[in-house]
Amino acid sequence: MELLKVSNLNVVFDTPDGVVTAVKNLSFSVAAGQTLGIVGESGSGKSQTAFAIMGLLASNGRVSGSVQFAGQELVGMSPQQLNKIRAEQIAMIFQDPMTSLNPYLKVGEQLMEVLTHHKGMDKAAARIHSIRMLEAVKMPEASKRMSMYPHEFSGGMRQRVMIAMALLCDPKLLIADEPTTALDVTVQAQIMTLLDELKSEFDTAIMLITHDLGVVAGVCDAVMVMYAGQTMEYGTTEEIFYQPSHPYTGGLLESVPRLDTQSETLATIAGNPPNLLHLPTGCPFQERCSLTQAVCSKTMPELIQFANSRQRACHAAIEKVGVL
Amino acid sequence: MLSFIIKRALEAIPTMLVLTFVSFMLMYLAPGSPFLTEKGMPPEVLANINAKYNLDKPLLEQYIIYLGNLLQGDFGPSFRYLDFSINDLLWPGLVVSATIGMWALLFAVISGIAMGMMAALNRNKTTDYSIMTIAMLGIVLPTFVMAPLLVLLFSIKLRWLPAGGWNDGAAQYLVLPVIAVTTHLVAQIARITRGSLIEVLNSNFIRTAQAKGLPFRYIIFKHAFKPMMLPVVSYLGPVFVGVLTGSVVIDVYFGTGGIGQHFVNGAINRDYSMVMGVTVLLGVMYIFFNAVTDIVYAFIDPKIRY
Ligand SMILES: Nc1ncnc2c1ncn2[C@@H]1O[C@H](COP(=O)(O)OP(=O)(O)OP(=O)(O)O)[C@@H](O)[C@H]1O
Ligand SMILES: [Mg+2]
Repeated sequence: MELLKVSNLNVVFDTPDGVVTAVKNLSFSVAAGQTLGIVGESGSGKSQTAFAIMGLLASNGRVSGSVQFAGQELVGMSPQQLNKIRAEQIAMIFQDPMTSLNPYLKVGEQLMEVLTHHKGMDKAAARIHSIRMLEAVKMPEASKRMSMYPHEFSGGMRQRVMIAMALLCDPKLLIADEPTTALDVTVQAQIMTLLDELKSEFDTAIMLITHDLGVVAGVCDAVMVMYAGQTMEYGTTEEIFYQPSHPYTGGLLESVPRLDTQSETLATIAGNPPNLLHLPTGCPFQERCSLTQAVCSKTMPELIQFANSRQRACHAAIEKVGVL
Repeated sequence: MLSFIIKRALEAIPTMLVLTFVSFMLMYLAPGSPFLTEKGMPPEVLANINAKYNLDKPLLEQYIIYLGNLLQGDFGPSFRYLDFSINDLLWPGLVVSATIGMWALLFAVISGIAMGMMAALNRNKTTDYSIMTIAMLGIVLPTFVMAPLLVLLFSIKLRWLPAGGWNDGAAQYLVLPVIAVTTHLVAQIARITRGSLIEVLNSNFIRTAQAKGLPFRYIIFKHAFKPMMLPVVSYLGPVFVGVLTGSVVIDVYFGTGGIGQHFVNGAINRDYSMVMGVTVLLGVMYIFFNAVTDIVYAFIDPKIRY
């Protein structure tokens, strides 16, 4: 049963220089309890996809297409109705824990307000529940921390607060936008383990956004690879890792540090993502691709389904995409 | 928080000491004497007068005597109007100026913030443009233009309000001076508030609050209001004293008898104790309101408390 079904989602921004296409014709779905990884380089439209789902786009942003959540259409929904879904049904953890908490309010207040608004709890009950949730994310001295301000927390602890905050109302879907990017490696591992534990404990579906394929491996059931706001390929985590069907995925995999190969240098994908103001005709990846053919600069390859539930958008034959 | 307030208050003491000492020294070093007249004075008389005002004592002792009186709220006698103390001269004026200033500030803070917020929340719409156009007018029109315009309209044309005077601060005498002072303040506060709120609404923590499904109104007042106020508070701190101590333009134009006149007269008359009194009074007020600003700031921003 699909919990979230995104179809033909487009996000564009009006800027003084023209229209920026951040997300283009994106379709995917997340089943209840499933963890979907969304992977792509910086600027590939991952965050904007999440914001579009939550109705949080910047004021110069426009969205079209459809986002169905548990049968309800979220695109075009009134803010009042959306507010019933936010936090209660879909919660979000943001990319930057240092700036995503309000520096002028006590952490406890920022947790409790979710419960008083959505669950109608009084302050005392909200406080007890918030402390319990802080303990669930392994916050030391949880009740003491309730009356502290965000600047008194480390980055990892702030992200724990964000996670606790997101889980307060027991949402069905958790969107985690690069929850570990701003943190150092050991803390990254702790947070990922925590998310994995919480997933089974609370039975939430997770949409995990990251630019790091390494993070995806342990946690995700399926992976969608995005480039320039579009899906390049989709498959189960195993399929993506062991039989990538798109040269971009191949490139991303090569740039994950590995211990089992001899190579001394870390491969990177040469070049930069295209300018979203002037997307090239044809495939957006053509300029950086090792398998470019004449057709790539003429038409955008269609996203086609193959081998059960896999999807890819590439003109090159699958056999040509190198298996690592 | 309490310790921050105490600390900030204690910090103000040495500043005030330095202020009084430096202004005392400057007065002493200034050439001439308040009792030098064109005709000259018999030396015995001068010596008597100097003794009466403690001017014959060693300098440090003079300073200590002055400081001691000051601590009891006594600015000493006037060197010019020999029957008056500085207190007699300064306080009534200060009361007038502070009354006008308080009303002007109160009105400016409330309406300026409301206008700024309305403009920010209707950004680039007609409401925003109208409010900001009015604010711009308020900023470019100086008080000495505002005051005559107000009198022309409300006193001479419409005959609603008196053109000047004080009459113990009766309401109808207050209105025009208050409007003349407040216009500029309202405009500045509205402008600062608008910019500040727009910036705050763009911050990540506001997006977090929205993602939590909190109502917009609640987000504005609970999450955005405090950070929005920070630039307003830092603007108001230094402005406070200026407004409370009135303006020469207002005093002259409306004949309200505010404190502004003493600034000029004291210097012209070589009334040293008046100049000292005004300097110290203003200095103390500046230091006091600076401390208040810091404390209010710390109330809003937890990172400043320590
Ligand atoms: N308000 C806006 N106006 C114009 N362009 C915008 C706006 N917000 C985002 N964009 C553009 O949309 C594109 C996609 O941004 P997005 O934040 O989704 O990237 P991302 O995949 O999350 O990258 P990262 O890994 O760096 O977070 C970027 O090129 C960005 O410049
Ligand atoms: Mg992002």
